[in-house]
Amino acid sequence: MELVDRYLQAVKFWLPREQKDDIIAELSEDLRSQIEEKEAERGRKLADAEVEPILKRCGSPMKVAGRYLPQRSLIGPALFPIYSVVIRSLIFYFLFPWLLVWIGVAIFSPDFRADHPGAALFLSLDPWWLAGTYSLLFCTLAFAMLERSQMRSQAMNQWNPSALPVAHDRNNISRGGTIFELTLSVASLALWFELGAFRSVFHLLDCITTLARRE
Amino acid sequence: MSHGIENPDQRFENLRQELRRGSLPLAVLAALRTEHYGYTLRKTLADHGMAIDEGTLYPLLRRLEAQGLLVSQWREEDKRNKRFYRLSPNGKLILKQLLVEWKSIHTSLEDIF
Repeated sequence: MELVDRYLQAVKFWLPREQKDDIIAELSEDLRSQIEEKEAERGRKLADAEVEPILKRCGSPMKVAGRYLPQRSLIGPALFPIYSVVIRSLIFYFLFPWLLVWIGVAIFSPDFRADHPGAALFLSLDPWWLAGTYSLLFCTLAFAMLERSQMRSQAMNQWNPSALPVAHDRNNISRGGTIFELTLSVASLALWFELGAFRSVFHLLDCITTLARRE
Repeated sequence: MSHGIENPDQRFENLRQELRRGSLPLAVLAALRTEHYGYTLRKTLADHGMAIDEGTLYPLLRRLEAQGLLVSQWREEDKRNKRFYRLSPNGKLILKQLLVEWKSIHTSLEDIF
């Protein structure tokens, strides 16, 4: 029975403290009943190798314990589509353009490379890493807090079909959409400058000027 | 995308389990019109073609008890402590309503088939 005890101990580790003993007592009783029934059929004690399939069928300790816990998610299925749009916008409108500019400057600006020799070139990307980490972390935390609050259920239930946006016509570029994209781009640039990317831009301009002079 | 590489047998098995999962609370409530402890309840369900593993049954029993549909009691039997479950008065009422709903679903499906 040592194998069963080890299994139960592993399950117990993942269980909520106040229910640990109760759940383990019940699961233990079930497993021991199964083993005793098989022992009665075979007329002998089961070897560990014969107990193993019973435990494997029961499931891995973490999986078994997980079934006793309430279902939780950091960001639930109702909010996840909005979260996904925000994260993708952050990457494509903010982090990706910044990275592209940095790559351009690192390749085409000798001055920038001279200012950041060797490993310092990659260290100059620190503000990008920081901005990326903090912005993704902030968004995730904000959505997780929204998920926890009751605001979600109220907001999701109070919607009006007439307030939905008009059906999108692919042949027509809407003025509102263009203004929105422009505003978003300007806002991204403003945030980008605010977070210290101005140095990279300065070097990019410098690089372009140098190239123009050479020609 | 795991759905893309599922073979037809796996797909059938997943859908079969999903179908049975929805019926398990009803089967458990119906079986607990008679008092059982976990292991005998599992055997009773398996004998009626509704096999359920221990990792699914015990959390389900706890949920149903927390909803006030079951009552449980630890008792000694054959020199071992066992937790016995049975339907609560509220559980009996809900079971009656669920059985009506189940029959209605069955009739509707028969009509569609």
